[in-house]
Amino acid sequence: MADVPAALTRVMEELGRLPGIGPKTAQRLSFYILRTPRESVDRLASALVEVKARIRFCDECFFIAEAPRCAICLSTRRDRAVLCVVEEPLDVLAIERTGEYHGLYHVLHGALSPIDGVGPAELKIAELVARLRREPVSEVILATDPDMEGEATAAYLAEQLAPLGVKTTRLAHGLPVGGELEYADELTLARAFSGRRAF
Amino acid sequence: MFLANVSLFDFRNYAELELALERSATIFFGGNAQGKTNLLEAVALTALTRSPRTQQAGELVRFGQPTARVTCGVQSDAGLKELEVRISVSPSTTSRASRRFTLNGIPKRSTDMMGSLRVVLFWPDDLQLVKGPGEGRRRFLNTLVSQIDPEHARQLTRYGHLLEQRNALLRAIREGRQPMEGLDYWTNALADSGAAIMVERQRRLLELQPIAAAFHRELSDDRERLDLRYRPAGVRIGEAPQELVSEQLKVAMRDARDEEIGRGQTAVGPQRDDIEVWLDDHEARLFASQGQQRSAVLSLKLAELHYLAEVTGEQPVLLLDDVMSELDPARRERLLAALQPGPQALITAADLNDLPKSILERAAVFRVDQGAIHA
Ligand SMILES: Nc1ncnc2c1ncn2[C@@H]1O[C@H](COP(=O)(O)OP(=O)(O)OP(=O)(O)O)[C@@H](O)[C@H]1O
Ligand SMILES: [Mg+2]
Ligand SMILES: [Zn+2]
Repeated sequence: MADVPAALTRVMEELGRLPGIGPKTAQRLSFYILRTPRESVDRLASALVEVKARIRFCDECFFIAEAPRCAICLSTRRDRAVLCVVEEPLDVLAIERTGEYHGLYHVLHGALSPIDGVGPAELKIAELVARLRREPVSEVILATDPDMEGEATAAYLAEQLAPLGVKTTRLAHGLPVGGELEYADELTLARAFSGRRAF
Repeated sequence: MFLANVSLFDFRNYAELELALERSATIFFGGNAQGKTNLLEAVALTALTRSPRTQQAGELVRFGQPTARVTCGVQSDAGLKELEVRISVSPSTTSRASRRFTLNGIPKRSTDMMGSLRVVLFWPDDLQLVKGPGEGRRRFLNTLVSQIDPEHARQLTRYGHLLEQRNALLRAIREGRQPMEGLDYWTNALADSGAAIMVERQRRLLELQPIAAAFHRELSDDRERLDLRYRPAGVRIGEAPQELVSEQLKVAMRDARDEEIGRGQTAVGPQRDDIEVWLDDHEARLFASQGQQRSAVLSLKLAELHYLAEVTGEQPVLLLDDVMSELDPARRERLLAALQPGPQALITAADLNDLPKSILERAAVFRVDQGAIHA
């Protein structure tokens, strides 16, 4: 069998590192790229380089940002006394679409899951505690996913935040159990916010 | 309910099969390795979402093929339903095969499939039900209760997932990769879920016990008293409400914490339960003769059939794989008598001579030959 040229192997390997892409899919995508016109590939490559150069995570809330602080943290129209804790940046986008929430966020970048090696230290929990010590926040809404890992994370956070004397609430039920916040429809999500309860 | 048709595609040694069935007893006979057990396995897979033969769904896909499909048409009081299972393997990766389910064409989670086709499976492995390890008896009860109450199936899945997480955390703590702090949450969630399972097991066993005892009394000519004793691991249930059982589990886990971390395993809970079968004053697992054990197994299986029908108001489908040849004439007759009022029964036999005349006369008979079925 002829050797696969090194440049092609590299593309396969790099694509294969992406989550959800197995070796077979990586091969298919690589050959797709070979067949694709030069301009499209250039566009893809420069988009990747640019997103890495320009987009980062907010130093304060860890949502996506183009500067040390994200647009939400910088906005003067947000209610700085309320903080909504979510697992992923995509959850922020889902909640923003409802138009019902006007406070700030804190993105954990995951949920507790021992199977995946994710414990408290792997999440932005210490940063959350430090932030609450620093800022005058009166309510923390725990909006982690309504699945087992999300519930575990919410329970753990409620315990960690209790000594700080800040009120913690959990999104109301009605979100699909075992589901992901990111996929909840806007109306359900809006209702979950208005019906939130003390944890 | 009864199975009106089965269709297979690249399932085990079947390339393609379309089979229409009657409500009556149906016999599949043929030489060894022709596909008799495979056919019943396909039906059990659709009903229970897992093969009773293997944990590796990939083994169900015909050698060298990417996808297996099983479709069952089920006629019940609720009308005709179409249940479908698709198993896909991807040849390039070693990852596990995927299972997809639809009910009347609508995608479903596995636990939402339970109860649409209820079966009682009786095959040679079941002869170990009394003698073998507790796992077999737990599976017997899980299968029975999950088919009556899909919520129990969901709870079992939830428990299994929580248990995996907690055990992973115990190991991580042992190896110094994670702090102890997070453990409490998993302990509490596991205890709540475990208590729900245990209380349900206790309740169902209490209801199953007199039915099994009655069958056994009859099979032993009134000589033996069969008793089912639930042995929940780590708690005393009695009349205790679920919250109290959950509390007991939490306390037991806290007490065993060092041992649990040392072993990287949860020490109590439904995964360690046993259901003891007693004959008079002795545990059958230890003291019963071969014949007594067979009677006890048959009593349990007949009780399962009877209880499912009673609680759901509908006869389940009985799947008898090769067991007639394992039973002596008296026990065979008893089993056949249970078919008289009318559950649909799919029966396999290597040799028609293993089957009593009485059933041959009223059954539909098919010959299984190398993954094909002939009238
Ligand atoms: N994934 C698969 N692809 C193709 N053939 C398979 C697959 N899995 C099992 N088989 C074949 O199916 C045959 C076994 O079928 P089955 O267990 O249904 O036999 P049987 O008719 O019940 O025989 P017996 O009377 O010995 O119990 C074996 O020859 C086996 O090699
Ligand atoms: Mg067989
Ligand atoms: Zn921010």
